Amino acid sequence: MATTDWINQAVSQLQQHADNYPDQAFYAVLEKVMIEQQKRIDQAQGEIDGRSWSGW
Amino acid sequence: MKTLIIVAHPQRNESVTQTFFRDSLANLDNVTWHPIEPQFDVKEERQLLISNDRIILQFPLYWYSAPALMKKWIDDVFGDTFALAPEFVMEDRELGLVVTTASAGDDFGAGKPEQFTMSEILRPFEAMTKKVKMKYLAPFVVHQFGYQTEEQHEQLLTDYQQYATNSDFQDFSGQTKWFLAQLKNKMNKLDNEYDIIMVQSLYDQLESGQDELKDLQWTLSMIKNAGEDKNGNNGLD
Repeated sequence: MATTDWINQAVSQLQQHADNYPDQAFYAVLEKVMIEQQKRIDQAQGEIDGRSWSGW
Repeated sequence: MKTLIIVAHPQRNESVTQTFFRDSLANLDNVTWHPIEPQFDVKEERQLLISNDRIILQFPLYWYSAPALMKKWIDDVFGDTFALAPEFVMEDRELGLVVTTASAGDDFGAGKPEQFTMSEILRPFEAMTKKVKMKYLAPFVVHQFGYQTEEQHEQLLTDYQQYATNSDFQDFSGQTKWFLAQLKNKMNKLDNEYDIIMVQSLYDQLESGQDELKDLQWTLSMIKNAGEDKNGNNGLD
């Protein structure tokens, strides 16, 4: 299962169980933050690979 | 960090936006929601100010400024040299603004309907902050709350929570740390074992991602520095 799939599944589950709106909103935004973090990791890794291949 | 939110709204109880903000703080510690009334005790207000680290003035934009109630509060509470020399009792504390407006964000700026940016309009508050040697936070401006989507409201809620409680809310790493702290808090309050496992898994993933990103950024900065040394320039090409 891709990382984002299980995050989505966990977040949906927690949102359903949350008994108040602030918690539901928190989990929804947490998912976005985790996706953004993964994007930044991929970008940084890509930049490192690119610079390594071009001999810096 | 302790935060004091001073709310001045002439129709506070009828305001959907203010209710939204007040309710969004329900699960957070160290935040004082403090609506001001036409009659207030200056000494008590000053005592509140000096017992908090971050002060947030929250109000709807009225004729490009704060409502009269907020202005009077500032004049009376900050006045009479309380916040000025020689002690500068508010020095190094932070001052933030939460400003709501019915105008669209796109309307603000040179050549646009409102002509001025929000930063320009709020400049007197920035000047006041400088005068009393406080740290001015980037204003938190909410445009057209009623027209926002559910998704935008969710984002607004956590952004507002962070504005109130995150000492490093403008930086992605600081935001991540805040989410980690919130997850830990939630874990301690949950009683459903399955939910605890889910929250723990999210916490672990977010934490390991943060470490990985930090390592990658460090490696990248090393490569950039090495490139600068090798080329004898600043690395810009």
